[in-house]
Amino acid sequence: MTVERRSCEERNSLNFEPRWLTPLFPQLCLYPLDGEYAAFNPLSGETHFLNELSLEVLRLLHDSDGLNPSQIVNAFSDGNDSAELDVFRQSLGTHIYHLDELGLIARADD
Amino acid sequence: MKQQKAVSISNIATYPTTQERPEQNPATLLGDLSDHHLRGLLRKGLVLETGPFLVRILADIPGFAVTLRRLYAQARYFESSPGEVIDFHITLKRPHGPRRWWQGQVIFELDGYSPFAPFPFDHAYPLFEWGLNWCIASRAHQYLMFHSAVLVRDADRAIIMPAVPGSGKSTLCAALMASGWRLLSDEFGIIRMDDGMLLPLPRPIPLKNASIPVIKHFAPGWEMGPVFPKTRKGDVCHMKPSADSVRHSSQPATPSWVIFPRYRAGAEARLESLPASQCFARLSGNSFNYQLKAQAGFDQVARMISECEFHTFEFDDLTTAVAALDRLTDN
Repeated sequence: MTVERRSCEERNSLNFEPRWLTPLFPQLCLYPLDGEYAAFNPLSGETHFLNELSLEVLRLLHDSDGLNPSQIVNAFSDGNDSAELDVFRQSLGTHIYHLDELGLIARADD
Repeated sequence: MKQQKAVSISNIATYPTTQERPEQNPATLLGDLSDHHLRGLLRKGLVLETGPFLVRILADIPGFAVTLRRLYAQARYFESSPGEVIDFHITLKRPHGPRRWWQGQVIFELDGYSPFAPFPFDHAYPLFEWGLNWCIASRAHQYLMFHSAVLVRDADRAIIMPAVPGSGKSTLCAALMASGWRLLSDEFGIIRMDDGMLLPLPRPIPLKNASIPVIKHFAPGWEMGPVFPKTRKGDVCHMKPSADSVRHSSQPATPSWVIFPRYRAGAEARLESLPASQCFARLSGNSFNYQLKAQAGFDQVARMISECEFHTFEFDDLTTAVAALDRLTDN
């Protein structure tokens, strides 16, 4: 699957709303490390270190048919809006950008 | 296993290790040979057993046999193939051409391939040691290997000391061995994949530059090889492994502590716990072949994270450093 290259700014913007999937999540080997996780990707042979939030995003995508950033924020918000959620909303683009770079997620519409 | 010419991949994965070989027969120890006899055997090719490896050495280099016999005196040897796969076929030889005689050089070959530039002729022994390290690190992928010293104080619980060059690892390792710890290896933490145990590879410890007089002062009278001046790593002198370490080279040990040592002039000997999140990256990053081992490597490192204590360790004075690690392992 090829990932179209877009600028980091474009990816960070929630105005751009591709849907994301994590097709290899069931194959990831996870080992908990004090609030972080070592994740071995058997397809690439690489080990990544994920924080709790990144892993939750992966779990959420795995349980869905593909979500765009707004839908991810909504799933985490549980109907509430808070300052914490605003911070998350702003940082989600970066999280998605990094997960995509690591090959742990893929565009659903590719 | 009977002698065989061709070995399938499945056989390579299961061929006997030293743990399955018969107990050492004192009649076959390298130290029992005369220098003259050993030199004759090296000309024909001699098989040396070191830890889990069988190494065939072919060499006709004056002086090399004397140092090899001195530093591997308790190691077992075979005059011909012992009926098992030889792990490494090493040749030390002089080059053709004028450098054979003028400012002589020596070449290291593995299976006829020469991975290094020639060394000065009188540096044949350090070339052999570094070459053997290269062979193990680049070929012995049936194991997960770390660049670390490994020692056992008592029982079978091992301390692993992964470190980068210049951290004082070998100096600390030498001091611990001289204080009665059993040396598994100064260079390799060798993890057996099926049970996660550490295999011993007790070979001479290469001391460099300032650490040579430091250890000679710390352990006066300990048998050392000659000093090789002005090698590519400076002056080098090899410290003979303790007889106890070699005698127990068929006894694997359980990984129990992982210590990241760092020499710092004037530092108090101080152990600090390391959070698990840092341990995984530091330990896997220290391995020679973690990526190559893929998920099996991941699983072994995860197992070590769950079963070992992890610390950083700054030290200066060797006596207090040894005492600190004695206290750690007492607990």
